[in-house]
Amino acid sequence: MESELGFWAFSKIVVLPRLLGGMYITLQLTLISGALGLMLGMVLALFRISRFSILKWFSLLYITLFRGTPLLLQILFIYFALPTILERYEINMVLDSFSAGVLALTLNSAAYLAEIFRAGILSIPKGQTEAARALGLSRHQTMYKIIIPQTYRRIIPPVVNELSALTKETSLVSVISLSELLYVTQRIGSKYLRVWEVYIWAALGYLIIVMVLSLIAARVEKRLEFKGGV
Amino acid sequence: MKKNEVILSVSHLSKQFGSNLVLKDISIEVNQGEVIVIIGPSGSGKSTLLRCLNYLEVPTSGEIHLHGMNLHPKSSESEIDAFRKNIGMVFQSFNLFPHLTVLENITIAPIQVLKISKAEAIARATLLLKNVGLSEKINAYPRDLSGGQQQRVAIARALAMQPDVMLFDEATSALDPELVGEVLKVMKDLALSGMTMVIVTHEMDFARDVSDRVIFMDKGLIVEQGTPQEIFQTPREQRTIDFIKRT
Repeated sequence: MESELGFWAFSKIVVLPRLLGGMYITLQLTLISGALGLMLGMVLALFRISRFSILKWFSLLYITLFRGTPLLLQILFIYFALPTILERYEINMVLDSFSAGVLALTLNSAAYLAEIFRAGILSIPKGQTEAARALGLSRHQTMYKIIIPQTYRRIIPPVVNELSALTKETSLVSVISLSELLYVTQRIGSKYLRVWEVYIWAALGYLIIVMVLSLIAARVEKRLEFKGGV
Repeated sequence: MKKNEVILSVSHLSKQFGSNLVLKDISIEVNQGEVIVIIGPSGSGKSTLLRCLNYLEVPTSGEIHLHGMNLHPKSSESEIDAFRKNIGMVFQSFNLFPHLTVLENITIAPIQVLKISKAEAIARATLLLKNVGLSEKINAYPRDLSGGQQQRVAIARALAMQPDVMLFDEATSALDPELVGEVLKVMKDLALSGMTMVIVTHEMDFARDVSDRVIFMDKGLIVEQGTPQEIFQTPREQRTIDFIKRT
């Protein structure tokens, strides 16, 4: 019966209510993994430029691993393989598909974000560190009060790039049956056999999230410009 | 003003970059309130020497004493940090923190390092800004200032730590000619106030006018030192004579 509805009616009655649910999950995936990825990425970046070679090597190994293998594989690995490995060591960890998705997306995006942060830190002229240290500020104070705040504005564009990529990559989590936007779309599409109507709405859903994200970023960038222009 | 009391002393300091020996067994004693100007051709090691004085450059060997404190190549990071609290430095390229206002640039180190209260730090900064003639720029950001104004803020920033010694590394070399005067004036006022200063500069008139002692360096060595009178009017070493003639 629903398959006889026109485009707008079908969209309004069948597609949109369900897609909104999926979009909500997608948004949650993006925001949670994005936030955690930013934090982990900063830690990894600081490790990467650390004086201690063990931290440096750990970070390098991590980044190589997560950038060098497909995200799809990482998602499948964490959802299917990780629990069986942990079981061997008698650790019972049940990861539902949402947590597994968040974990994979966080670990993956952190690798890319770490390199963005590292590049940002290295782009600050050496004179800034020298001036801070000459004033008696410690290595830590110099990093957190002087160097990192200066990187904010210049890393916004690449960070937004990465977060947009992340938004779209959340669709890969559909392979572990998490009912995010793409998964829901596929289900409706095959149920009603009205494929193009559904996919167009799904595309629009991703587009909206990314555009809102870019808009917020542009605002923040503008705000920082007023503050000293760095 | 001169108490003939040694405040900063450098003994047998050498610095090697790779196989290149840039400072060769340098020893200097700086008296309380003394203004020392270091001159010399580029590559003579004068900037490296200045940067060794607060360990921005770690010497290969030798020691530095600043009342009670003693730095040597094996000194720990916290010893170096403590030492630096007492030595202010002004750079050729100002190096103000662009994300902070003029006031924040001046107060950050006293608040973070000396742990003084914010109100006290602001009071200090306000007074210092008045002394360098920039009271009205207190809430400006560095990018809104001219080079001369930025350098004057940088001087105030270093002074806010109330250091025993101030180092100036070619503080006017990056300035447009018409802005040099305002910075030199601030430096001169500071010298007159009794601050102990070690200055690397190409401004020979300033050196003649303000310094108590001039040190001429070449190829990593102190070739000659004496009063400005001695160095500029009656230099003894041939290298000094050649250098003075050229400038």
